[in-house]
Amino acid sequence: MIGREARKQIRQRERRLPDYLIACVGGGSNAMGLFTAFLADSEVRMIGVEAGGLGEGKNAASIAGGHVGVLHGSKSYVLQDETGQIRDTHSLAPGLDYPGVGPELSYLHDQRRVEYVTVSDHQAVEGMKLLAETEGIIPALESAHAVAYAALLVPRLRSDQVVLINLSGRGDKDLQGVARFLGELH
Amino acid sequence: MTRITETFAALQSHGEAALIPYITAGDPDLEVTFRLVHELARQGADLIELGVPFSDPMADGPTHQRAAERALRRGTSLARVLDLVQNLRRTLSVPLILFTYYNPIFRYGGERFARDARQAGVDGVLCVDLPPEEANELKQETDRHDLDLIFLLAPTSSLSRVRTVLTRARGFVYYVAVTGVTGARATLPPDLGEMVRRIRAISPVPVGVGFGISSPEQAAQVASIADAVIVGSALSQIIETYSGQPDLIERVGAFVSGLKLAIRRERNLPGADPSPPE
Repeated sequence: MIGREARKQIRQRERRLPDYLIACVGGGSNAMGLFTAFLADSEVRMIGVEAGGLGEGKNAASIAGGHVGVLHGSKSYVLQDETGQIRDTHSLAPGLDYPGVGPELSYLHDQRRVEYVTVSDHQAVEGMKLLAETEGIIPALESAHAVAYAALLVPRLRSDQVVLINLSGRGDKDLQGVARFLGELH
Repeated sequence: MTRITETFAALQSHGEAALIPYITAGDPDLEVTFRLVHELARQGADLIELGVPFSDPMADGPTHQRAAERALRRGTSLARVLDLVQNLRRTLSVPLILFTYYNPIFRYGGERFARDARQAGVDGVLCVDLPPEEANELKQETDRHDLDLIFLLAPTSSLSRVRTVLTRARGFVYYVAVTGVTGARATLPPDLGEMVRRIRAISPVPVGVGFGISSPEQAAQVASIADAVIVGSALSQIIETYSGQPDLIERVGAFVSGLKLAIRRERNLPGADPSPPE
């Protein structure tokens, strides 16, 4: 639904489809909601942003660091050790803190239709601050991963290119966690 | 005919229900598991389920979850459990069934697993999160290596699903007595007997009942309606309580012999009552 709405609105506003879609990926419902409406549009590039957390061994980036496995009834990329035990995960964003990813997103990775990147806890918090300070929107920490990656990507694009970021939730729920995180840094 | 089928046939020939205890391999460690399995067999286990611990055991209640955590902390893996079975097989004839989740098998490789498991002396495999519709890949391999891939039925299974599962069943079919996860329950569902009767009426293989059975009384009750009684969490509980103590093996053995006695008594079988003291 969110994809169909986004597609309709961006065509109304920009008179064309976006060049990039950016969405965070935990289990993947946020990203698939957006991506499904654009899968057939080969000119639209899609970027899934996984939770890089605190780095090696402390993240929830199933596509970046996982292996094909079967968890909770689906075959997909799963963070696991070499004996098939599921690894502990970490992300400051609770909605991304999951050791697997939806099978559709795994397939789209194998098909190279969706490109995957990771953003750390720290970068996500910076993304959240950026959107709050520039647009007055406090995005959920999950969506803030997409914002953070957009902030890295956009300076490399031409000014007429269009980027669509999926903001799927409000960040009020995350403020205490973010305050604690920033407190620990200082 | 596999060792599981032979065992059931031998028991059925004199009207006895099988006792199938379950323990988690590697809890508290694999050496103790080795001794526990022998003790289970000595005290009357007809088949034994060995749990291969998994980090995310969604079908298990807290007792088995803790057992799996203890086993994983000791580095227990599927490969090590297969080594254990190989060691056990030198002196043990009781059928062994691996009870596990699919991901460790998938990661090990289905074909390699079926071959190694058979070679080690495993007789059956029960993969709780692999429904029959999704099991073709593994079943092809287990069938080829003559391992029984055992499927589950639940109180929520419709009659058409029961039929579907039974067409693929080998060894025995595992009826989950309660809705929910493994773990001791004070009472068993009142319609358990009726459910099991319906399944047995159309099943080409024996029907075992597990989940929630924790006392000799419950074991006897289930023995009166089913071909096998499966007891797990109650044993894990004893292992947890007496782990590291000198009488661990003895305690587990006494519990299992109590279950066996109750089951035989229920069916009025010889050997049900211990000989009177001289």
